[in-house]
Amino acid sequence: MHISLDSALGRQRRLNQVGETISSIATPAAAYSLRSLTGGDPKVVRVRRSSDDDEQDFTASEVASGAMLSYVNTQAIKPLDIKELATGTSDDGRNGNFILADAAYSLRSLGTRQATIPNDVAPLNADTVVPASGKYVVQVRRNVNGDQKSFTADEVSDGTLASFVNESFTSSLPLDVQSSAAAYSLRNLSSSYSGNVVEVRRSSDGNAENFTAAEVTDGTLLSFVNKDVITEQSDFTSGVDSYAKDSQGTVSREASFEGKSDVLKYEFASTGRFGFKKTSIALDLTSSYTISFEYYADSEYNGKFWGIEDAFASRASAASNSPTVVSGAWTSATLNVPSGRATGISTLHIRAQDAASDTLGLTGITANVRFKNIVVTQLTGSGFVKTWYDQVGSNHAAQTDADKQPTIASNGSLLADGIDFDGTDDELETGANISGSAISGFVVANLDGTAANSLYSVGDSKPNVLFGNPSLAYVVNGGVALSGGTAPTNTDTLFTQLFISGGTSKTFIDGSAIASGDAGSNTASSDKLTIGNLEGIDRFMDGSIKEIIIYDTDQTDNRRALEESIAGHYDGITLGSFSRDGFVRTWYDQSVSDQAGTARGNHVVQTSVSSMPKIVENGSLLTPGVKFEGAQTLSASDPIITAASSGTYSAFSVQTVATSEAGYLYGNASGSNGTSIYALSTPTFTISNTSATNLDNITRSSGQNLLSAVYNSGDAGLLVNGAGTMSDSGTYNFSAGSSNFIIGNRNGSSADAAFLTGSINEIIIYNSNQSTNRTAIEANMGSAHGINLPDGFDPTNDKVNGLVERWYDQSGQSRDSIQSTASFQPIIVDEGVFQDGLKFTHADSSDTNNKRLYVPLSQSQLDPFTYVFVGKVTIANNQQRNLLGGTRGIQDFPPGTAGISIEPDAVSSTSGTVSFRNETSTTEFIKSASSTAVSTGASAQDFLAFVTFEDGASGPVLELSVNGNKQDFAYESGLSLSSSKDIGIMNATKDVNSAAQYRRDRSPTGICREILVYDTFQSANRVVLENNINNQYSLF
Amino acid sequence: MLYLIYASEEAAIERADEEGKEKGYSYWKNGIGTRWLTYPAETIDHTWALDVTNYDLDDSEKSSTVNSYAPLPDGD
Repeated sequence: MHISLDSALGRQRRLNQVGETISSIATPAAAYSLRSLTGGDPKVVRVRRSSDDDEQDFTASEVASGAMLSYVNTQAIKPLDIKELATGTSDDGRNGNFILADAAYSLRSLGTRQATIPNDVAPLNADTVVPASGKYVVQVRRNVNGDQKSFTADEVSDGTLASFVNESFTSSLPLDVQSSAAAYSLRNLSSSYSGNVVEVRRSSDGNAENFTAAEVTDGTLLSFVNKDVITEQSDFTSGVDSYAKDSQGTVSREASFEGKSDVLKYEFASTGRFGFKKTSIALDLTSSYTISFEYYADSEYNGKFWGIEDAFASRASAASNSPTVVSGAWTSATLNVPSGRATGISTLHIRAQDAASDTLGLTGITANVRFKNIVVTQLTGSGFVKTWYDQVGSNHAAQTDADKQPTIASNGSLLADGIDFDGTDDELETGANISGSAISGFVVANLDGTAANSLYSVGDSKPNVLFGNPSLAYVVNGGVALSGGTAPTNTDTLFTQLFISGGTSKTFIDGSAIASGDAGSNTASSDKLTIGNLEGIDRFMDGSIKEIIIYDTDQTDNRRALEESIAGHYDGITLGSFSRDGFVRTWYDQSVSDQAGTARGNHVVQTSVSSMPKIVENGSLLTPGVKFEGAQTLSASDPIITAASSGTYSAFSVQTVATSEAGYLYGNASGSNGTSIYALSTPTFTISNTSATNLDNITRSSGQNLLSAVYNSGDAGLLVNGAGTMSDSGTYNFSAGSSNFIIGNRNGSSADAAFLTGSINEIIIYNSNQSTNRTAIEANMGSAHGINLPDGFDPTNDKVNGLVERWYDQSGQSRDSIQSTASFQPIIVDEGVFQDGLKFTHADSSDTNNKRLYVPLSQSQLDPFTYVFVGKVTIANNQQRNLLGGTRGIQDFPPGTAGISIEPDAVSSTSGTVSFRNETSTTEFIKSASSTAVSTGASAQDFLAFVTFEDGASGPVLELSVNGNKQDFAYESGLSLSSSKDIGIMNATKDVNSAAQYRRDRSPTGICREILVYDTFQSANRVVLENNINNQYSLF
Repeated sequence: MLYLIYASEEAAIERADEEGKEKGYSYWKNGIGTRWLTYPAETIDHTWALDVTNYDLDDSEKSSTVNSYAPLPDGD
């Protein structure tokens, strides 16, 4: 629309990219223009548009290209804020009442009059966490856990909505995400749980203790398991303490021998193998021991070796050392038996060997050995789970039979894979029942093999959950086996089972779907939870479990969040991909029903999850809008459109629908009455006559379209992107719709050709004829959605003012000329028209709000100095007026100010005189006038005024040049240049405070195009500066 | 024109700030740009007059407005 305003104005490009630039001629102290003074493309101006007070910076090229003007003229008034055209007015005419829409849906705010949604009623009170009442545009359900939340337009655009949909639960705890029926782990599963997680029996002495999660990880549990325990200590005071020969020899007690009383005597008579034992003392393969004793060996044994094994074992000693036998004296020996022995003796057997590495006891010696103080100390041990505590209630999983208790510690260490079930008889069972028509289970397990055994079961028969061999990979079974996939082994794996009795059950491995379908019906009314087995047929699990969480409800909605909260804790689990999607539950109606702004509440809602359209897909906000995929709808609880065929209504919408698609966009049509907007694959848009879609239509294009439709008494007026030609066909005869307003389909149809596949950004419905307002509405919608409309669209609204908040300094001295008060800001676009400069008006007779800008420099900083002004003065009233400088032109002068002034030659004169003026005191001034007249008044032309001064070697000299005609002035004494007041641009004020004591009749109206200020004497550069400026503006 | 008269420039600017925020001027949203709709002017008795013609006034303020004020005098 404004592609090249320069061309239109007949001007050359403003960019001084060739030849000398202003800044290259001499460095200014401050320099302002709408063209580039540097040769680059600097920011030149910051503009506030009056329509919505938005502001934006613009470069020289953006001003020249028309981008700035387009920005100002953008229809910023949003649809709900547009007023009726008032007749008999000469302005833009939109001074009537606000136009009231009957429904308005968008993801942006459609105006300051957007309805406030109350939080004490539906649909806002369906948010998972009900927020305060507010101006919400959409209510979204996220698929990661089914939470619902409403969002404002700002929250849609600033990423808050997408962040909600994309929230990760990897740092959450499962029971904080959703509490369960029962939950077992060795960690705390909720932020509120700090109780015991497990009761452990240690192998050494059978004692058991409880442990918290912290005690599991900080070593307390392991210290308990590995505590040194003396498992055998015999002093033989009353017998042989159950010691016996292993194979050969004789064991007996002697009252005393060689100074020691109560000794155990082992007599060996040459044949067989040396060895004795006490089989009630365990030497568990997974535990370590020390075995110490005193002995007195006959001389025949001297130089032999002690070992721990059966006499005929054919195995080396289980001990890691083999003390040499010393004869003829009481001697102490200690043998160390390590843990982690794969095979070998598991009870106490002591033998003498010929060699340290022998696999049998010695033979061929007839002699005796006496023993005293045989002590067995268990150094490390194993731990077994007696109770796995329920972290939700008190439904703990327990095993009182020691042989069936799964292992938590072995070989002196905690088992890395969790609680190990041996596949033979280990299992844990709850005390209370877990029942429900839906059972959801989340299990972290590490399987040792693929045997078809049970992770857990609810009840003795069904439903149960199995893992199995590759042909029966992974099963949930509530009477019907639902199986699939391959259960991984020897790695942490998250198994998820969603059993829905009589419904669609699902299984997942590491978050990826494995199977979905009928898994039978849970006919059991109440059953206990068995971990590690299916009791009815004893399918004992061979592997480990770290965590098991059971719900007696369907956790489909929370599945992914729960899986993330579990997998996030276990490094070995990597979940499969998951598309984070957000679905529209409610598209809030933004319309209001009266001038006071009462909300209408025509919200469109979808409560069925599978029928909700999408707004976030795979984590990204869908910029084309709400996405319908051929099976989704949103419905109001009202027809909204009230018209019958003889009535009228208007509809405006932005949508993206493939040209090959056929489907209903929105409306209240059913098969018997009502009307809707329909997209045909011809491709056209049409207004339907009930379900008939062969009437008035207009061609549509691919991509995003702005459709405006005004239906009026049998005639459809349609435009696409503000243009197009209608095709009239048929006769409308529909009765007023009795069904609800629906988006994405019509009422009562399930046909593919009725459901919409496409996206909708915005819909606004009026039960009135909006012919006279349609361009205003379309202009804003087109602008908001980046839709190009025809040139000159909505000319009644191209009457916006653009105001200058900041004229950027191009000198490099960072002296931007800033005006922070809206009412003082000069005009760059006047009612839609670019001024090619900054327009200063001084029309406020109260002198309160007239235009003013300042160079942030004072005269006291400028001696010598040079001022350059380019512009024109349109006032024609013979008063002295300040063009550029601190002067005021009326007594009570600001002393020490200087600058360029102008005075029209007479009232209503078309010419004026440019002067240099120095106000030396509150009552005195010096004035040096140019003899070159300039035009003033309504037909004024631009002119260039140049003044440069220095108090040189030959005295104070000043050059004043107007349109290149230079005159020299000399003064007997120096000027008064002491003022600390800012330099005004086309205004007259008194004080340092730049707003104070403004004087309207000394402030010239007109347009300023360029200002240069130097703190140097620029006589030598005057001509080249003037030529540069004249080349730009063609002034003389 | 409607004016509210304030005893000090600071008090008048405080009210101008309030209106600027209400209007959503760039300074209050972006830290740069327009801050006030109008700016106070000193009166002859050294109070400060703020043009509130286009302000959203509360009932108390509405009852306190004046139609004019006497500006600081200057020479001629």
